[in-house]
Amino acid sequence: MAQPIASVPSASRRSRFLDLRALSALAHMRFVTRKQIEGSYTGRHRSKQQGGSTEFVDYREYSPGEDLRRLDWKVLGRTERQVIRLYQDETNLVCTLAVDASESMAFGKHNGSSKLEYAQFLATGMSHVIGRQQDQVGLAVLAGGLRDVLAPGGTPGHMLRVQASLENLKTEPSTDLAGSLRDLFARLPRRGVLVLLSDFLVDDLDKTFASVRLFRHRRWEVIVLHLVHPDEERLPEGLAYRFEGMENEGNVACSPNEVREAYQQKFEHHCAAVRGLSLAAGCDYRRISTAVPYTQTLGGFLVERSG
Amino acid sequence: MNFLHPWFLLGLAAVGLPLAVHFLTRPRPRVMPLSTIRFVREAVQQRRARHRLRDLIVLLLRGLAVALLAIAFGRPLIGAKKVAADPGGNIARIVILDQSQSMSAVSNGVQAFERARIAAAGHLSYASGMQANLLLAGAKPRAVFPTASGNFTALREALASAGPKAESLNLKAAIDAAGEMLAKTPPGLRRELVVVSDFQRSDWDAADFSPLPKDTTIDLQSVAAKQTPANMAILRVGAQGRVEQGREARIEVEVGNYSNSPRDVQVELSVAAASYRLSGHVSPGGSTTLSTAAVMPAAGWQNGEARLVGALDALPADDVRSFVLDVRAPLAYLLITRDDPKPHASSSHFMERALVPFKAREGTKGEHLVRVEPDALNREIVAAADVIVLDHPGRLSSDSMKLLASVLRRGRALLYVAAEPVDASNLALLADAAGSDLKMPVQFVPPAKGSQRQDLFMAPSRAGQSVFKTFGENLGAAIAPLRFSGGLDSHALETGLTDDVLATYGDRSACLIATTCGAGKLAVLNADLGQSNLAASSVFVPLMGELVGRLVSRSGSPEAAPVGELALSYLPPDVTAAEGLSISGPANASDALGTLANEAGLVAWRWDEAGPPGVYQVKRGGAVAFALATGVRARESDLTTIDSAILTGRLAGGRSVRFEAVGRDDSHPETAWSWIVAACVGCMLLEVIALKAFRT
Repeated sequence: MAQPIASVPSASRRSRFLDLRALSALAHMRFVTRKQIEGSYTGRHRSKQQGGSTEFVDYREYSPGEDLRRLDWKVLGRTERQVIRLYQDETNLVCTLAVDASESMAFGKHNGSSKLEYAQFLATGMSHVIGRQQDQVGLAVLAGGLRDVLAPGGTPGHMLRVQASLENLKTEPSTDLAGSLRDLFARLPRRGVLVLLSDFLVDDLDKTFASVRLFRHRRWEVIVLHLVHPDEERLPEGLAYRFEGMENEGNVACSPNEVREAYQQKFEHHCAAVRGLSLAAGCDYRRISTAVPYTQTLGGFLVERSG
Repeated sequence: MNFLHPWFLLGLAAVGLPLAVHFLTRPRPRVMPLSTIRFVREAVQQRRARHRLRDLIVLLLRGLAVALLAIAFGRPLIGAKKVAADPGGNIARIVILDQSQSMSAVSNGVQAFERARIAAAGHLSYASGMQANLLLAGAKPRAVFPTASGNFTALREALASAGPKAESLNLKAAIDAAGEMLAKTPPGLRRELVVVSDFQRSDWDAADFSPLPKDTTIDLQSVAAKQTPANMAILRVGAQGRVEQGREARIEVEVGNYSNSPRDVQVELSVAAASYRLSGHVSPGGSTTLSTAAVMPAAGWQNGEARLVGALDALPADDVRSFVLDVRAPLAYLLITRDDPKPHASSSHFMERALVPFKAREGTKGEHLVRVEPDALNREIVAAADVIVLDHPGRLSSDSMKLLASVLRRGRALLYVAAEPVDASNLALLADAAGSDLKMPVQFVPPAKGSQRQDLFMAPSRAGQSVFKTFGENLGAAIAPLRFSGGLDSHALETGLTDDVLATYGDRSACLIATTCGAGKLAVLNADLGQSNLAASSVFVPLMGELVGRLVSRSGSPEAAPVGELALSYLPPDVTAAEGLSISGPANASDALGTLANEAGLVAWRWDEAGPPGVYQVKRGGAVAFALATGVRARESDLTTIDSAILTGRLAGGRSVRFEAVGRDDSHPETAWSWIVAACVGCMLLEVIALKAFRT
C-alpha cells in the first residue's frame, strides 16, 4: 500500500542529487510531450481538448445546439454555410516519475554508484527541468508494492518534496513492479505522462507491461527508461566469481569467461524483450547505461523529444 | 609385455595428477552480488553439459598422456621373448652380456647393445626357483653378484645402467668367470649359460667352453645385424722409427676398411699444434697405411689425434685414435778409442765418419760425436752421450767397464767394435759388470794362436733381416764383395738368444750381435775395420745407420695401451725416481690411473685397467716425463661375425650349444617406447584440439 504524503521527509534543504551547476547546461531545454495531454491549467503543451485558444486547427459543420460563439460569421456571410472554427487547446504537463526501488537497483555499488543512485540523479534532474517550465511533477516509488506516491504538483515546495523523496529512496529486497503500477494507475485519475525508471529485472515482464498498458489505454504517454549497468551488460573480468542473487535468488559459482557469451545473449534477449514490449504497448523506450553521465543522458533525452 | 625399468610404472600413480593439479590450482572465487544472476544461472546450466564433456575428454587425455609417459619410461619390451619358468623350477643361469666397443655399432638405426639389453632382460625375468647373475664382459668380466642370485631387481637395474664400453672383449676371462660361478651353484640346479653378443669373428674364433661344467646348457643369442655393417677404422697411429727434434719424421696412420667396397679415405692428423690431411684408397676388407712428413719443432712428449673425415659407418667410436710422440734431441755419440784423432785410415776414423757423416749447420743442434781417450772417461762424459762407441780402446779398467755397464743398464746404447784380442777381455769384464742383466749370445775369445782371421765373408741371419732390410733385394749383391779381417773368435752360449746374432762369418763365428742389457742395448761388430773393406764399401754408412737405429730404437711413438687391460710401462731411464711424479688423464678418465713404483733402477707405471681412449701423462711438476695413449684393439673394428655352425659344432666341444639370432625381426620391439612417447604427444595435441573445439 502507498504511504501517505505526510510521511514524506522534510524538504527544507536542497537534495544532494540536485546539481544545479550541472543542470544549468540544460536551462534552455524543455520537456516536451509527443502526444496530446490533459492538464489542469493552460500551458505550453497541446491538450486533448479543442477550445477557444489562438491556434486554428480546422473547420467543422455546425450542429444545432452548439455554442454560437464558435460559429465563423465571416464564412456564413460569404458562403451562407454554417461552420465552426476549431482551435487547439493548450494545457500544462502533468508528469509522474515512477522509480523502481527493488534490491536489484542497488547493483553497481561495488563499482562506484548503483543504478538507484543513477535513477535518483536522473529523476531529480528531470523534476527540476519540468518544474522550471511551470509543469507539474509527481513521484511514485515502486518496490514490493507501491511505496511512496506524491501526486503531481507544480509549486516550489512540492518540487522540494519530490526531490527530498527521491533523495531518501531505499531499496527493498522484493519487487512487484506489475502490482505497484496497477496501484499507481488506480491512484492517478487524470491522464498525463508517466516516466518509468527501472531495470525491469522482474520475474514476469508480461505482467509488468500488462500494467503499463493500463496507462496506455487511458491514453497516458508512457516513457520507459531502462537502466542498465555496464557489469550487467558484460560480466566483470576475473577468473572465478561466486555471484550472489540480490533478491533472494541464491548464488552461482562460475568463471565469467566461460559463460560470458551465453550470458550476454540472455541479457540482450531480456533487453530486447523489454524494448519490444515497450514499443508494442506504444511506450517511448530508451535504454540508459549508467556508464553515461546522467546529465548527458538527460540532455539527449530532452533533445530527442523536442526534435 | 615385459618392462626394462618396471619401477617406472609407479609413475602410473601420477594419473591422478591432472585432477590434483586442477583442484590445487583452482582460483579462489570472488564473492559479488549480482542483479542479473538469473541469466548467469541459465548460461551456466546451458554450458554445463558441454563443459562437463570437455572436462571429461581433457581429463582422460591428460591422464592417458601421463600413463603413457610412465609406460614409455618403463621401456616396454613388446615382442621380446620372455623366458618361461623352468617346469622343475630350478635353474642357475649366468648371462654374459658383451659390452665391447663393437656392441655400439648401429644398424637400422638401433645400437646392437640396445638389442642385447632387451634380449638379456628376457633372460633375467623372475621365475620361481631360478637364480641368475649378469656378467658384463669387456676387457675384464664384471659380475653383478659373486654368485647366482635371486635378486632380479638388482640384476635388471645393473642391466639398465650398463652400456657399451670402449674396450675389446676378453672372451676367455668371461667364460672362465662364468664357469667358476656355475661350478659353485648348489646341486639340483640346472646350469645354463646365456651369451648375448654380436659374435665377432675376431673374438669368437678361438672360443673355448671347456671351463664350463659339462652339464651346462649354452644358449648363444646373437644381436648382430643380418648383414655385416660397413665400418672404417683407424687401426694404428705412430711414427716410423725415432723422432728427433727439428728433423723430418714420418707419421703413419693405418686405416682399415671393413666393408665390401673400396673406399677413398681422408684422415685429419693433428700433432704439436699442426694439422695434416692424409688421403688414400683402401681396398675392401683390407687396410692401408697413410703417412705424412712432419717436423717436430720441440723435443719432449707430443700429443696427437688422427680422425677419419666423412666416414659414415656403423661404428663411429673407432674413427678417431689418440697417439703420443716422443720427440728426442739429436743423438750424441761418445767414441772411446786410443787411435790418433788426426784423420787417417783407421777404424775409429771410419766409424766417426759413418756415424756423423754431416756436420750440423751452424746455429742448429744436430748429431755430434765426442772422441775421448779411455783414460779420460768419467761419469759426466758418459752420461751426456746417447750412443757410446768403443773402437780400439785397448785394455779398459774394471771401473770403466762398471761405469759403462751402469749406463748401459739405464738405457744407453753401446756399440763395441771388437778388433783386438784385448777386446775379448774387455767384453768379459763388461759381462761381469752387467751381471744378469746382460745375456750375451756368444762369448768372444781371442783367436787361437796361428789362426788367421782374414777374408771372412758375412752371412746375415734371419734375425738380422731388420738391420739389413734397408738393402732390400740388393742385399746379396751388396754384401758379396765384403771381406772382413781381424776380430775375435766366438762360442755360442747356452744362456744367450741365438736371435741376438744378426750376422755370422763363414767360419761360424759371430760377425754382428745385438742384445739388451736392462733398458739399454749392446751391439758388437766383430771386425777390424781398418783391415776390412767394409768401410770402403757403400754398405758401411747405411749399415751403421740401421745398427744405431736398432740400438736407440725406442720408438718415437709407444704402442697404445689397450683400454681396460693391464698396462705396464717403464718410464724413460732419465726418470730416476717415482717420488714427485703425478699422473693426469683426459676429462672422462676415472681416478684410478695406476701406480708408479721404482723397479730395478727404473720407474714402472702399473695400471690394472687402462683408462678410456685418450692420452695420459706422467708429470713432474709441470714437465711431462712420459706419455701414453690408450685405445681399443684394432680387431674390435672388424664387425664380421662368426658362422653359427662353427660355434654349435667345432667350438661346442660336445656341449649342448644353441645359437639364435635375436632382435632382427621387423617389429623393432626396442623402439616401442618411442611410439608410446609419440602417442603421449598425440594425446596432448588432442587435448589442445578439444580445448579449441569446445571454446565458445
